Amino acid sequence: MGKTILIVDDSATMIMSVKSTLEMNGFHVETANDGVQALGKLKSGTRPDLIITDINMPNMDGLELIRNVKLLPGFRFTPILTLTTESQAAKRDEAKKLGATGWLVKPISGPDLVKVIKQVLPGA
Amino acid sequence: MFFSSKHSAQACERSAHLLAVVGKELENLSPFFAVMHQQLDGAVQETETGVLAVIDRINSVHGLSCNQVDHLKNSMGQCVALMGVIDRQGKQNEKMIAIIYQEIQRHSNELKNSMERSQTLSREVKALQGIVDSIADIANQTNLLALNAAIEAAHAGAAGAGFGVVAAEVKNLSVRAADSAGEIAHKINELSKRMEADVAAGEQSMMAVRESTEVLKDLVKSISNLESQFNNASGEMRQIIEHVQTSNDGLVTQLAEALGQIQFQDVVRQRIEQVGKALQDLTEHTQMVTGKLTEDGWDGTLDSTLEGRLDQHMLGYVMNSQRDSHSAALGGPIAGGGNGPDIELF
Repeated sequence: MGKTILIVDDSATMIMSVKSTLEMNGFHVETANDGVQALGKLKSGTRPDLIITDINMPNMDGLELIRNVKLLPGFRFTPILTLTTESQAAKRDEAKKLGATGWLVKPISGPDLVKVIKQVLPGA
Repeated sequence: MFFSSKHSAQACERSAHLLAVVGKELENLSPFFAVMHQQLDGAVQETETGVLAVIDRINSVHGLSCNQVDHLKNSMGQCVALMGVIDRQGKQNEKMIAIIYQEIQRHSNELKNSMERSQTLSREVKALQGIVDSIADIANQTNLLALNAAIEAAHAGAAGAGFGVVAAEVKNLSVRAADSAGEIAHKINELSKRMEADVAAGEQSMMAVRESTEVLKDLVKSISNLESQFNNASGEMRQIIEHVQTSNDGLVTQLAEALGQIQFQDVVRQRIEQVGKALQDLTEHTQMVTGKLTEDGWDGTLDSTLEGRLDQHMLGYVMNSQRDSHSAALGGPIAGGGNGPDIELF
């Protein structure tokens, strides 16, 4: 079975497009609509090899999610990629400071996304 | 003075009326904006529904394609298994044919040796005929001598009586010898004929063996051709499957590209939502101005201005494209591009 990836986004189309792309390439995909739901999944046993999160989301945004995931036992080294329309350099810098693995801007082509994931998860 | 104050009262009345009309129109802006907002929400929902349907279709296409590839792979697996069976059977056939071939060769050699022996024997038996002829000749001459001896014995009278008995016995022996020679000649003749028939039958058998060997060689060639044709067909099928697999990989890449392009909907949604927020902001502003218009003693100051609200919007944008559109509408500079690469690994 392929590696598991958790996608966090408040957009149904984003979730479906990224989920379909990743499943076509052999990954197992879990989804959450915001940071709160994502944290809930992690706390209830979901063990993703990688998290891909949007930045601007209701309830808990992506930056807050990164901060919380890094504090969660067992997830300190879980790679986190942001996938966002956000273009403010300050937010990009903050994500980097919080421990994000990379910054991806929407829209991203499927092959490019898979290429990045294979760089982050060697052997995937 | 009266005339002047009358005019002044009329002007006030007119101003109040105009204010009331403007106030009413400003009030009606709220539902107007609400309708626009609702329309934008509807548009967003419709694009989302449409895009999700497209993604669903893309997944279906991918599923069908994968099924086709799986089916072909399964067929190839069966084909490979069949090839294995045919290969094993072919080797078994080769062994069997080699054994049969050896047996035929052995049989052929035995037959050939047997025929050679028969031919030699036949020649030797025929050679006996000369000896038998000599014996018959000797018997005839002996018979003739016995006859002369009997005549001479008769001339000798009583003195030749004993010799006459001997001559008679010799004659009997010569007759028996001639009869035996005739019988032997007859037997030799029969034996020769049987041997010739046997040799002829052996030659027929040899011919049949040669034909069988040729048939066997043809059979080996046919089996070899069949295996070769099957291997060629399997190779072609493997090529077809590889081609289908390559096409499927290309299809997955194209579908993944399409799925990436579909993400435009999220970008558009966020821009439309920002416009929705602006409409809401405008509604609040209009309500605030309407309230001020009906306020007694309003001195013309506002809690916030449209210019200020527009500046706030600039701060609320998340995309450079939003900022560029905003700036372009106000005649400002366009930054273009972003604040970093679209893909960056830290």
